[in-house]
Amino acid sequence: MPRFEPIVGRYVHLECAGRAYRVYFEEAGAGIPLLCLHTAGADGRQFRHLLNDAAITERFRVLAFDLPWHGKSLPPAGWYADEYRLTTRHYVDLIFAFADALDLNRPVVLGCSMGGKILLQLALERPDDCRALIALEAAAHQQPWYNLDWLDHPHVHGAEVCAALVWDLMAPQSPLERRHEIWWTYAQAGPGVFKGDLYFYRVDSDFRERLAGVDTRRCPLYLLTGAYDFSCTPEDTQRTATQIPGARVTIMEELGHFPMCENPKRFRQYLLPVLDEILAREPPPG
Amino acid sequence: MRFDRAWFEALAPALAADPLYARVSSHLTARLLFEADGWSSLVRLERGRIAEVQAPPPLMAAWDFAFRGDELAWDDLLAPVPPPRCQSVFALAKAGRMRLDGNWLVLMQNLWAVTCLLALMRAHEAGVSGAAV
Repeated sequence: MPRFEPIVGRYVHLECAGRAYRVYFEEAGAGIPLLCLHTAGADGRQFRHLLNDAAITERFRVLAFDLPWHGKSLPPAGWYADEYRLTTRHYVDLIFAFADALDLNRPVVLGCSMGGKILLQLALERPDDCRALIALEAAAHQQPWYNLDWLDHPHVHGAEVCAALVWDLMAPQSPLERRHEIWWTYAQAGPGVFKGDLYFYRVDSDFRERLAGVDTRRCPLYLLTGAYDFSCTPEDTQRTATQIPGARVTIMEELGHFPMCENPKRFRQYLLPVLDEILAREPPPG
Repeated sequence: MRFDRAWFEALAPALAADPLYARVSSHLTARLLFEADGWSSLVRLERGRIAEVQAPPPLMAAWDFAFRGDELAWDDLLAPVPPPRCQSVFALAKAGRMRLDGNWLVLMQNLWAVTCLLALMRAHEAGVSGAAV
């Protein structure tokens, strides 16, 4: 008998800002939608462990889509004339174009790094359309700490340099096999895509002056950051949380910037109680 | 003194024996300077192999890229399990505890090989065998 995983992959056609997109996504499970947003320069494969975790999928319909330009979601027609640059506006619109197309009713949204940071915008803009927000490795602002030009430079192997840079962001305790898988997926990004994502992450998303507008009574916000993450440090996250009444912070020991895929066993110890808490807040059926 | 000639000579077999490093370092030809207060070591790598070590290097010695930090920063970086946010020269540089200087093109062209080299240096310092990266 072939050994199948419960994950099913499909394509959905979306319209966003006047352009057509063919977007790849994977899903598994049933229940409350749990929409997962991958990191910059990566794709939905980062969530394969969540999608295979019965403790999650028996209660949640877990979905992870590849942003256009990432993974199996091609860039839109005419892409070759553009420099890829993700903006806050476009990112939010893509997320809800996907959620609306799949008729997801008030999903729990979980994202990591840039996928976590965009949740602050969702908290400000669409709190009633989300059941809860789980932001991994996210903060209102990170000081830029290196020259992004090296990520897309004609004299440098773009695949290797992107992968090598993110390697260091992982915790040394994370299994080598998992870390090498992340290295591999980063080496598969299209030229300039990691850099284009970081435009959103670094330039177009400074939330420091806007956090007072986040109302966690309308939509609970959980912030979980790995102790080894030096891109979004625990201090960055804690500083953000102190400005959002009701935000819940967890610093995850022995984890780095990619908790869900660098050490899934360890990460689920932190995630499952959060999911339990979200479920406990649901009104009883009937 | 940390990183003297004998230390690098003892590291050489570990570099040669590591299949990943051997695979990814075949274009790594560069002069790397490692330094703290009180010691300085210049390592010339040819196709990933240690070709020459000058510790200390002579006056006016040229190098391509330098890794400098205080002794405590090196201790943290090379600990068998580094403390949080000390696992990388970039982490330490971002925190202001290391200084990275030189020809960035050389470093970025060889970043994965250098990352593996630093991991093997940590394993050698700790006396750990097996896959370091």
